[in-house]
Amino acid sequence: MLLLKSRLHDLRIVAYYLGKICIVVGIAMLIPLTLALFLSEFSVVYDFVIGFSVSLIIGYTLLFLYRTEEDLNWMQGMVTVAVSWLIAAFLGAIPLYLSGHFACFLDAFFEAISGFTTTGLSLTQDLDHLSYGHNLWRHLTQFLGGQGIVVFAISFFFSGASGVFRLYVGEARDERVLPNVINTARFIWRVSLSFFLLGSLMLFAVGIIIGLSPGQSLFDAVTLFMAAFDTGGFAPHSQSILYYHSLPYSMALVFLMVLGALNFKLHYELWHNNRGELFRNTEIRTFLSSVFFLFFFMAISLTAGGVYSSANGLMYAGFFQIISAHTGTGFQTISSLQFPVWGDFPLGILIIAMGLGGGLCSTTGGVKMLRVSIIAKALSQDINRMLLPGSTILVKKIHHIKDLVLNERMIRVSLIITFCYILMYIVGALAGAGLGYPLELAFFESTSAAANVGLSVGITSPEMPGLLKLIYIIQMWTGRLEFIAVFILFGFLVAFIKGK
Amino acid sequence: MMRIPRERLPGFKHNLLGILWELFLAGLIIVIGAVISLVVSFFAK
Amino acid sequence: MINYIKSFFPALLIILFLSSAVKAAPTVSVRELYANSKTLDGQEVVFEGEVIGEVIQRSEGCWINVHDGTEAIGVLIRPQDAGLIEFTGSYTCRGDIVRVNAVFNRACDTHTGSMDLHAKDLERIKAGRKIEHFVSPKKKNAAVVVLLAALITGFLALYRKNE
Repeated sequence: MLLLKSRLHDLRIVAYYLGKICIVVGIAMLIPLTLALFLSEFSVVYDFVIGFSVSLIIGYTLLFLYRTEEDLNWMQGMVTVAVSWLIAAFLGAIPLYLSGHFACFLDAFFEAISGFTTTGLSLTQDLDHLSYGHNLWRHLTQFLGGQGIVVFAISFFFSGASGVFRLYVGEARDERVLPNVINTARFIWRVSLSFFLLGSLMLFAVGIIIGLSPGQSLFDAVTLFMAAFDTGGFAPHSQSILYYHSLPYSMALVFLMVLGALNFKLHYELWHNNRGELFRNTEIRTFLSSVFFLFFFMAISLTAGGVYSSANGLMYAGFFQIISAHTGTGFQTISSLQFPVWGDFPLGILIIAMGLGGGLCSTTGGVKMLRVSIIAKALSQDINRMLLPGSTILVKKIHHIKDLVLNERMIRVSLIITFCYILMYIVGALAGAGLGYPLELAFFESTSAAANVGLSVGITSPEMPGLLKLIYIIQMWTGRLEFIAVFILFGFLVAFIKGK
Repeated sequence: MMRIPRERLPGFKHNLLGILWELFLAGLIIVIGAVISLVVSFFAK
Repeated sequence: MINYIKSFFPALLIILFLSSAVKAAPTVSVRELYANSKTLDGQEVVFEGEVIGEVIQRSEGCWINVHDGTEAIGVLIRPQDAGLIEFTGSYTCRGDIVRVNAVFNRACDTHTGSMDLHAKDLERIKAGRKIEHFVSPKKKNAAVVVLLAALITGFLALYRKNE
């Protein structure tokens, strides 16, 4: 009985902090609401008034009922983070569902969680006729989710307390950029907003040059910046980046995708004039090597298969897709219908790129470069150990901001997380195959969801079975939080039900 | 609300230099892609 | 004799009609283009759909994106044909439905290397129109009610905080 009471006590604290998150999401909805008002999209205004109000009702009710001055412990922090992403998606789905562009609320919820987790798989119907307000909200969810909903809340709405750090870590950011986590969160926002201004301006200018009208170019620049820098992958048009028929525009997006895939610690070092980090950093080296080899083999395969023969085609389709997959963005310069035509080998290359991911503590998904580097070094260390005399003491280091000695705990944690990702890719693939899709395509789509990429071979559609939509939702959510917070939530629920 | 100690955040000039270095990195990746595309398409013909 | 001539001309008309139908290029969908890209590469096809987005003017011509109901594809049209398009699909408009006779390119080397259509001509077969978005009274009432409820709960929560 005592244990159950303490579990209820935990729930009360979690509920209080969830209330704050709800209010944050509600306030964020004022942005598309303002745009809709400005553009006289009055039906859209009402959709966001409803979404905003429901968020505030839930948020303030939780704050009213569960007011506490108590700080969060680790378990409560993790549970709060895990649940807050689901609540944010639920609230974010309300205006989307009211738009009439979704077959059911599940589809709208799928879209919202795809947005917040910066995946980019879309179930929007008739996207080309969606309002500017709703379209902005889709992209804004990626901007908020990319920075981290909790990070956003920490920056502006939480007072300094150690519980805040536990929330930060729960959101899969175990790299403290600055000693104080609130300043870390603010630095992340400073980088993001600086690039927002510069990146949007650049895209706007390129858009005008390639022939877009000023209004459309501005809207596309802002939305595509959010999707690119936060490696989300939503696009304002149904054809994704194919819409623009422009190599320069797609290369401008490559700049932003790469910037978005960088670890925020790296941004800090480079912004602090530590340019040596640029080429010593293990994540950058791993990323450069990976892109080089994967694209090299893909290019050979595409030309040998007669898919593309010109450098133009290889850059626009092949290279762009490698970067889109590796950074976990999910922009497409080819139609989903074309992926199967590419052939098995290029698809396999893309699956590897998606699965590997970008920088740790960035907006990307997947296993992530630091872990890949640690595992590769550990393997090389073990091989060397076997080749060298038994008495040799071998110490391997990697450079990530500072020199780190490879230790057993580091290797073990990297392997466990990597194993979890691969298991999730496989489980999703088997589920897709079990529901009637070809295995390789199901594996592609599953990896795309779990690694929060968003490239699609066409499986993701409103006609997809509801069970598969739920499976992808769980994959997107779990992948974004890198498992720990989700496992702790389930552990908490099981313990709560058992009363232990 | 607890006072948060002010930590050293980089100044404007360093921010700009940092951005330029990052753009250089992204540009380098594009150059890698372009070189591979040109070489592979050349040998394909 | 005259009877033979009288029946000959209708027969001639029927033969000419049938033969022109046989010679006319097939109307294709985007899915068919992707599925048969190798066989249709370089062939002239007829394609129909709604113009969505904008007419994007470039030095090589104008790009339009045409949606056939399931997918969209890029079509490069002549600058003089751009003037035929009045409405393009967006939140506020249904775009013009156009029909183009175009050459299909599986991997267009001239442009980005992707699949596209180079139109030889363009015909507007159905005019687009503005779309009116009406707000239902149910939605308006719901919005007012929840907004009031939000203000009340907000007030209560802040009152408790200050207590």
